[in-house]
Formats: sequence, structure tokens, C-alpha cells
Amino acid sequence: MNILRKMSACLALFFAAVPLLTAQNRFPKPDFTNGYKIPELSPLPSAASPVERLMLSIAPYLQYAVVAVLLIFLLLSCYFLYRKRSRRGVLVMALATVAFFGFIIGGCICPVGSIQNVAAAVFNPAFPISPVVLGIFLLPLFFALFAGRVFCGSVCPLGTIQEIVNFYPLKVPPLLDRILRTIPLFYLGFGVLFAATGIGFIICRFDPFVGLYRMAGPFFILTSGGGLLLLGVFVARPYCRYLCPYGVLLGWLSRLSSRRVSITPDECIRCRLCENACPVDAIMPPSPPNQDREPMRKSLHRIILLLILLPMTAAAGGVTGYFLGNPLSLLHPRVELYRQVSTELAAGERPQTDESLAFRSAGTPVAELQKEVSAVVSNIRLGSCILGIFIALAIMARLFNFSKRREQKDYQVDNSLCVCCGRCYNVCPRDKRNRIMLKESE
Amino acid sequence: MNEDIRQDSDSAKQVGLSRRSFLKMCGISAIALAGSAMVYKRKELTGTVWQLDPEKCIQCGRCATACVLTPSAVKCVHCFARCGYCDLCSGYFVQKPVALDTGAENQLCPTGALKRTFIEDPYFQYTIDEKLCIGCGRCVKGCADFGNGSLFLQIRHSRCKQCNECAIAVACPASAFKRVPVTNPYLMKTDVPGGGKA
Repeated sequence: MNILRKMSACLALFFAAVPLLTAQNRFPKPDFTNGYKIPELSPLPSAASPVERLMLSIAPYLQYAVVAVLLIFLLLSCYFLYRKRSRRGVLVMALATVAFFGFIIGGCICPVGSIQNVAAAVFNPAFPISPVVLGIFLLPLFFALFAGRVFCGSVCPLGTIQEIVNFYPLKVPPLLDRILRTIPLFYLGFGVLFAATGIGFIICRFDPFVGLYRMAGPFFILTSGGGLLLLGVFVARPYCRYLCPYGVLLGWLSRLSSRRVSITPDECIRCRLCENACPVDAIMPPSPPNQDREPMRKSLHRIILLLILLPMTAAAGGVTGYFLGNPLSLLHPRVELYRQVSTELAAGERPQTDESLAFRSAGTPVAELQKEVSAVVSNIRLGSCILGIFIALAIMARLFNFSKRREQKDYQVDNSLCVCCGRCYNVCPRDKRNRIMLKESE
Repeated sequence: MNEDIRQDSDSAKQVGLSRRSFLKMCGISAIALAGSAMVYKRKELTGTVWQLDPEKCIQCGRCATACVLTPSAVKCVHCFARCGYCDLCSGYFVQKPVALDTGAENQLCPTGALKRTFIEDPYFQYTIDEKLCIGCGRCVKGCADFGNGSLFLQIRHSRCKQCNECAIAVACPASAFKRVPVTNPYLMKTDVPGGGKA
């Protein structure tokens, strides 16, 4: 019997040419005579270590605790920003965020990445989403609706690490700034499209800072994170301004917020001291007196021109998106698999890649894959068509905003750009005066 | 004059506020509606963690290299109930081993994480030293191809960082990675092939 077992194993080892995935349990369970008891698993996860056991048992509640901490951080940031008007308080919150949401939690899951979970869950009913993820996605948006982008200022693990390193903020030329600020629109659009159609979570894949928080990650991510931080010493928050897709959503909602960062606590004396204080160029100067401005007619003409161009731009965006659909669909893993498998089958080859080996040994009929892939491709084509229209409309809306005549008396903050860092508080002489008076009264 | 301007600005503010609060109400209700509709549609309301389905795994070896951590969060687990306790273990020994002993040249495991102990003739017990395991899956492949398939890979949640998009899930050729409920975070093999959870 024993010799037979050994021989059969040898035979299997030496002569089995094609490994079979399904055929297992080749050898019967041994009958031990010396009283040996068969253990369960090695290493046994449920009994691995008291720490892991504890972590596993509290994991469901821990996730809710993270949402609670996010809420507390947002409330505290609002308190420091609006009630205390304290840049120092905001900085302390930023440091706490880097420590907690960055190094302790390890970066995931963050509201920026959760866009994709929500998009995937909306378009794919089988995608699991928990209230935790939903809460993490919605809480900062909800706060933006009432208090502007407080999340960006001191609760976002990606934003705060850039805030902390921004020692010598330089001004980005306005035109370049406006052009670069369209990138997040594309990033958001493609992030949602890729997540909704199952291509992947690109926002997470190219998250530059999560690698630093984990002290581990692909070389490209670690270097781009380091590079962005180096750039961030001089250019304030390069990721937030020129890449962050969540910032687009926050910007839209914070336009509706009635609460905004007010540079001066009471009245503006137009001392111009705050003009260069804002690292993200969110401070808008008072509109010049009427005789110095371009005539009303000119801006009206521009707006009419934009209105005429609007349907054409939208159509152009849609058509471009439609034709981009096919090349984009090649990024989908199932489409790539189908291409590989069908070429192999046509040439009568054995599986050339691990992917096709896994697919062919699983025994799924190719027709089923073909059906799935054609559905995926048509989804991607439709999605990228809608995406094209969306990006065209969003860019046009920005142009409208630039062309609009502003009527504004004092130095004011553009709520959709302001990241609530509180730097402008420190330069306003009225603010300083208030502080001194407060101290004296105490 | 000054007061006039102030009054003007005040009234303008009020108009702005009402429109703003209307839009805000729209925004909030839209978000709340979308959120509650989405939550309502789902049955499972617990959080999820990543895990790999050992029944789908083809032991390509990418778990060891694709993880953002080094060494990987994926490690080998041994289901003794399915093990044949073979002397010539195809998960332990390389093909055509020089001798059936613990010599390094005979071992499949690159780090010597698979330990072989004698139980009684001809049975040997194989256990995994978790600290040494790098999740390359060579022993898993050997056992799946020629043995009972009692060795399998699992994400160890004591190590896993729970990336929103698991880097190994992206690299996995067999689509074996999926999100599982946090309340049941392991997909264990049992003594029956294809059987449910342990």
C-alpha cells in the first residue's frame, strides 16, 4: 500500500504532462495509528495571534469608527477655520490628518478614491458598496455644501501632506493655471468611466501619496509622489489644483455654500496685503472702476459667441468620445483576454499567457466571453460618448464663468478654488488688530 | 449714501441667499435620494475586504510580486484535513529530488517556509512558517498539480493594507480576487474539493 502510494506519486510527478486544475484529492486521508490528531489549518488565522483575532473581531466596527473620526475632523476644522479663524488650528488638524488618515489608516479608503466605488456601484448592481464607503464619499461633499472645501484644507490625507511642505508658494501664471485646471475634469470623467465600465480604478492606481504613507509601493508611484511633494514646496498643492478629481465635485458644491472664508473679520480696507497671500490664487481683487473696464458690449458678445459654440462643442465632444470608445475598450481586462483567446484559438495554439490559461482551463465557453465583451465594448462606447459631452460642457461652463462680468467691492475668496488653508487670515491687518484688541481686553 | 449702498448689498445678499438655499436644498435632497436609493438596493451592508478564491487560483506566482507590500500580504495556508501526508510531497519536493529529505536542493520552497515533520511511517506533516512565506505559491502549484490541493493562498488580514483597488487583483490572471464581507474575511479550503468555507 505504502509503496503503491509512493509509486503513484512518483508517476504523477514524472509523467504528468498537463496539470489538471480540477482533479484533486488524489490520495486518501491517512489512518494514523499513533494517535496523531489532524489539525485544522496552518497557520490558523482564527487563532493566529491575539492581535489579529482582536482586529478581525472589531474590523466591522472599526470601519464605522473611521467615518466617525472623519466627521469629527471635519467639524473641528470648521471650528478652527470659521469660529477661531486660526491658521495654526488648521495646520494642527492637517498634521493630525497626515498622522491618522495617512500613516495609521494607510490611506485607503479615502473620499477621492471612493468616487470610483460609488460610480461602480451605481452602474454595476453586483458591485458591493458599504455605508462606510458611502459615508466617506458623501461627508466631505455635504460639508462643502455648507462650509466650502474644509475637507481639502485639513482633512484630506492627500491635500494636507502638500499643505505641510508648501514653504515658498509661488504664483502660477494665470493662463497656465486656467489651462492646467481643466485636467481634473478629464481625470474625474475618465475615473468614473473606467470604474463604471470595469476597466479599473485609475484614481487609486495613480494615487501619488498613498505609497509614501505605506512606505511601500511601485517605483513609479513613489517617485511621482516624491516629485509632487518637491514641486509642492514651491507650487502650492499641485495635485489638488491640477489633478484631484474629487476637488471638481467639491468645487461645484462649495459654490453653493453660504459660509466662506472671509479674509477680513469685519470690513475690508483694501490694503492689498492679502493679494499675494493665497497659495492657490483663490482671492479675487475688487472689480476695477467702470471706466477702466472693457465695455459691457464686449463681454456680452463673448457670451453670445460661447452660446452659439455650445451645441457644436458638445457635439464634437460626443463624437470624439464615441470614436475613442473602441481604443479605450482595449484597456478592459476581459476585452484583452478575449482578443488573446480568440487569436490563440484561430491559430490553434496552446495558451500563451496566464490569463488565457486560467480562462481555458476553467472551461467557460468562448461564446459566453464574446457576449460579455461585446456588452462591455458597447457600454464603454456609450460611456465615453457621454464623457465627451460632459467634458465639453464643463469646459464651456468654465469659459462662461471667465467671461461673466463680476461686480465686487472688496477682496473676496472664490469659494470653488479656496482650499480653506487659512493663510490669508494671517496677513489681514484687520484680523491682527482684532486679535490685539481681544488680547488687551483679556 | 453709505447706508443706501449697505441696504442695497443687504437686499442683494438676501436674494442671493434664498436662491442659494434653494439650490442647496436641491443638492442635499439629490445626494440623500441617491444615497438612500443605493443603500436600499444593496442587501449586504457590511464593509468588505479583499480575498482570493483558492478554487480559482492558478498559482501564477504574481501574488508574491504584485502586492504593494514586500513581502506580499498573501501567504500560504495548509488545510490538513485535505492533506495526504505523503512522503513524496509534490508541494515540498522539486521534481526529481536527489533525496527525499530536508536538504535545500530538494525543496521547492525558495525560503524554506514549508516544514516537514515525521508523524509515522510513511506519513509526514507539512506546516507553514508564516514569517518566511512570501506567497509565491510554488508549493501550492505542486500540491494542486500532483497532490490533493491542500495548500492554498490567502490574503493575511494582519498584513493587508486593504487598498481600495488591490494591486494583486489587477494583476491576477484568473480573476480570483474579490471583495468579501469583513465578517467572513477568509475563503478557506475544506476536506472536500470545492466545498464551502471552513
